[in-house]
Amino acid sequence: MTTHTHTDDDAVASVSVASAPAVVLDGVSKVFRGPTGAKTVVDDLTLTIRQGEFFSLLGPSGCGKTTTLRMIAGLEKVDGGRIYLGGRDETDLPAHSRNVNTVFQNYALFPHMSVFDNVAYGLRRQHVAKAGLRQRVMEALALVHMETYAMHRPTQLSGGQQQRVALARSIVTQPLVLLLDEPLAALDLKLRESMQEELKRLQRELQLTFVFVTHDQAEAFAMSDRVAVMEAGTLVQVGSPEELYLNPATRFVTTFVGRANFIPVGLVEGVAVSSPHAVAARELEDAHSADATLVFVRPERLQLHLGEIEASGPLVRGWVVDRTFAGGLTTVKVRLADDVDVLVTSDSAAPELGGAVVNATVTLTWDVSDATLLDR
Amino acid sequence: MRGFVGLTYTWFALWFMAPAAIMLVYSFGRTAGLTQRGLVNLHHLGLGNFLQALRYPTGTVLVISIENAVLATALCGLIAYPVAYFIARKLGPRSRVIVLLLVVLPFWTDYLLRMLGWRIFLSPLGLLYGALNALGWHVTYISILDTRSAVMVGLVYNYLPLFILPLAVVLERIDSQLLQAADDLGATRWTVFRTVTFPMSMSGVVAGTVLVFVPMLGDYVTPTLMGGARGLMIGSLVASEFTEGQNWSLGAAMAILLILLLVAIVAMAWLFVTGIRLVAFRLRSRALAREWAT
Amino acid sequence: MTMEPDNHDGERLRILAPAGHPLTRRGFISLAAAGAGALMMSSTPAFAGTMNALEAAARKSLKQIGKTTKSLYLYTWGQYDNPTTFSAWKSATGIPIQIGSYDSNEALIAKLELAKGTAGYDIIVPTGGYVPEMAAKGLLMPLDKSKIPNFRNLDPSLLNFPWDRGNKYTVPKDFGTTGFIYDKTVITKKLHSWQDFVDAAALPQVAGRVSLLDAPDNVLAIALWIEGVDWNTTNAAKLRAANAYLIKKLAPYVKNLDSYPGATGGLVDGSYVLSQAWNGDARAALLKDPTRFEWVIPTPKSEIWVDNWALAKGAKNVDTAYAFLNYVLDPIVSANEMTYTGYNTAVKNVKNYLPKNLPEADVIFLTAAQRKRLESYIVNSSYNLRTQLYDNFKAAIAS
Repeated sequence: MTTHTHTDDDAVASVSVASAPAVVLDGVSKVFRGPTGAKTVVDDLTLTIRQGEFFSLLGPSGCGKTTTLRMIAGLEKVDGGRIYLGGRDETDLPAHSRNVNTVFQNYALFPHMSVFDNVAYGLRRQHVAKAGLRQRVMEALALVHMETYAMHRPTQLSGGQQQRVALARSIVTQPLVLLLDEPLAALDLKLRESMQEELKRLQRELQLTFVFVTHDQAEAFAMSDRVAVMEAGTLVQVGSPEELYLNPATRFVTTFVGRANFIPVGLVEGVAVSSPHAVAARELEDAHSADATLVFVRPERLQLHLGEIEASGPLVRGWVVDRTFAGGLTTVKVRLADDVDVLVTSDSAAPELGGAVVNATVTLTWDVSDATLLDR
Repeated sequence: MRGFVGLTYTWFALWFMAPAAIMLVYSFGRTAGLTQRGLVNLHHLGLGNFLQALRYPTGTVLVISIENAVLATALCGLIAYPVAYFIARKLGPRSRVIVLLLVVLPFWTDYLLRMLGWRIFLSPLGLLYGALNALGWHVTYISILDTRSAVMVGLVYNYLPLFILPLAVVLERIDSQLLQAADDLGATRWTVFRTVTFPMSMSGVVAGTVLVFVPMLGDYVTPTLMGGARGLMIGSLVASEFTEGQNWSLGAAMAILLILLLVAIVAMAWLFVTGIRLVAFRLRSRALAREWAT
Repeated sequence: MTMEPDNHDGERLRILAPAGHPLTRRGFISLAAAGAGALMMSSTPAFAGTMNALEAAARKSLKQIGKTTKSLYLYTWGQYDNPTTFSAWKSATGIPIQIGSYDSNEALIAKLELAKGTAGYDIIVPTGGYVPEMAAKGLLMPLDKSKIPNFRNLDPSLLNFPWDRGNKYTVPKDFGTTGFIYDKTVITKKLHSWQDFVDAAALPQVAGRVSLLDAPDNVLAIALWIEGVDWNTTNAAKLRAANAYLIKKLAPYVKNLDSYPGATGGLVDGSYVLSQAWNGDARAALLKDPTRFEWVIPTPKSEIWVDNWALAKGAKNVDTAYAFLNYVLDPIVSANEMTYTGYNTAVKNVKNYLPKNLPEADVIFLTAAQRKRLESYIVNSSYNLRTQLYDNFKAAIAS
């Protein structure tokens, strides 16, 4: 654990420890060998997680994010590459020798122990003296508002309460990194949202490094400082939620991050796009790959116009097939030629919406700076 | 459907309980004697058989039997645990089935034949004698047979699978994520076993102990075949009342008393285990509450 | 094992029990050995000759009876009959014999009592001492000896025992004695009496290597005979005193209660050097090592026991059963049985039909002097006490 001493003598050492990244994955690979052959689940993954950061690994199931987490924990051996924890190469250390704790997806509380003993487990392994141990356990339980349940059994607790105990158990030893493996997946929506806030608060208060694995983009974006998107064992893009949302590197990222429209370039009239590729649609029309190119625009970046209008920028035409009212915002589904559907989100109070009834002809326009050109 | 299931249970319960019920009735009767028809005279019911069942040497033999059963159960547990652990936690699903089959394989041969096999193996100039001498360990005579040690061998051998099976099931069911959690929290392999695996397998140990101890205490075939006259256990006394004693009512009373004793032992063991846990829990809660209050 | 055909003496059985055949009172676990023996026999011409003689006897018995039913149910001791006795009967008469087996008279009585005459057995084989009890309980059917012409073949000295005066219910099947056998290489002094037996048990080289029959009456008899008390006494004080004597003088030295010290190998492998035994079982040990062991029918008294054929109350195939009883009382059949069981039958002159130079024959055949000091035990009202005393004795050995 990082020491927070502020004397001059310790300053240098303290800085050097503090400045080392919490986790560095350097070309880490993992291959599962089964009876049907070998499958690479994590492929040459390189990643740096800073100290005190709330970092999420985001991706669909089977993308290798949990395996990555388990390799950091030491629960899974790596088949290639190195893992540095707090600046030290701990690739070959077993889980129990790493100052890294995990909150498991289904909590993995010891059913034969009381809540107190569960939380005390890690401290007992460090031979913490009895008095200090009680103090620290009860403090950790207080942090997650579970101090009155100390003598309960895990089986007597609800899912959310078990979750809190699992958290307390993992943070009580003040690990260098706390790994969370889809810890909220088993909770219902309301509980999940309150736990998100709680986790965020804990992370801030304790100044711990959290590595959070999830397949839920909203969850990752709501909580994280940075998010790494993984696909099929490889890292696709790392960045803040804003960067990922606004400048997705691949179509995979766009689909994974919020709702997206993909409009074949052939359907677009006017200037289609700019940046980051900075290519004009008209040039592309001549290009060989024109049919294989898509314009990516977020639904809220599209403007809805009734009837067939002309505009200086890029536009597409179609008719309304569906509309969904969601309080302040209304989403209209517009069908373009070739049965391509596009979603457009508008303020529910917008005047155009009045005429955007099913089967009404509409024109959609957008600002070139809001669109990205993607390979199909 | 539910009615059908209920009926099935009732049917089985009837067949399981009927013999015990008959024994219970017989235990209050009086032996028919040499010239009367029937085996048990039920016209004069009374507790005489129970009083008679308690006379010497029942107590003496019972003490021997309990000693044997306790020791053999403990040996079964000591042998069964590593075996069950290996089967449940070290083998893949396919080899696990194969090894479990091997564990129960002896049950496919007749009980008597298995015991006779052991007799041949342990006999004074038998296979063990031959093997030891062939290995250069010269013995003049193997004198295990027809002793209490031989009873122990027979009991452990016969009941070991009954200990292994429930234990293996319980060990197999322990979520390996719990072991990983312990590992993750800093526990070495031995500590994981000591603090998680072993305490969580206690239900299997208890089940195995009961499954093994209960029939062991009443067993008379194994002691008779392996221990001869020196391996006498309480079951033999009960059996002798049904055979050479021709006294079914007394035998029934002894059997009923034995059942009651077993129920009492199991209940006491259960109370003891849960009682200790409860008391410990109460004490710790109180201590914790007091400390937290200040 | 001799299997030479002997053409000059066709009446004589040409087979002999193979060496190592467990000759016991009732063939304890002799299945494998008997099977091997039967296999060897069936491949010889002599075997065919024997089968012809047996089949002729079966046909003759059936003819005498006339009409019979087509089945027969026999409830007897396991391995207590020569399989060829049954197979010859079946091939000659076409009547199959269904056989059930039990291992104690008490089991036999319990089975018949619980079935209340519906057990379906025709012929049963109780031991003499249990016959009065079974008769009193109404489990036996009186015999019509006119339907058993071969009854006349029986030795009169083995009829009219106290347990069945006039042989109202029973026909003797096999008889034998209880005595003891000892290892001469360990016990050099010659032993004669039950007192000698008890004294020898305490010798340092013998203590812990003694076996007694696992039969309460036979064990208690040792003390009663030594003390000169009637074996059949119902006097509780005398019975208790006898048991106390056994607990003091024998229990500390007993290795095991074993009814088959010869057949199961305890004597041969040296586990026992002094064993109470039935003569047929003792002979099994003598056949294995004739020079090492000595068989004694002790003074002052010892046992003659008789297992008997009887008809069960409720028998359905009575005439067939009579034909079968007549068949087994034929000397050639009787001899065939003897070669298998190793026990004497009560049929006169059965010796003439046996192979010559039968080994250890003096263990099978009794002299008149021996016969005089033998008596039988009849189950009496003291049986509950005797069981209790036996339990005490067993507990004394075990603790």
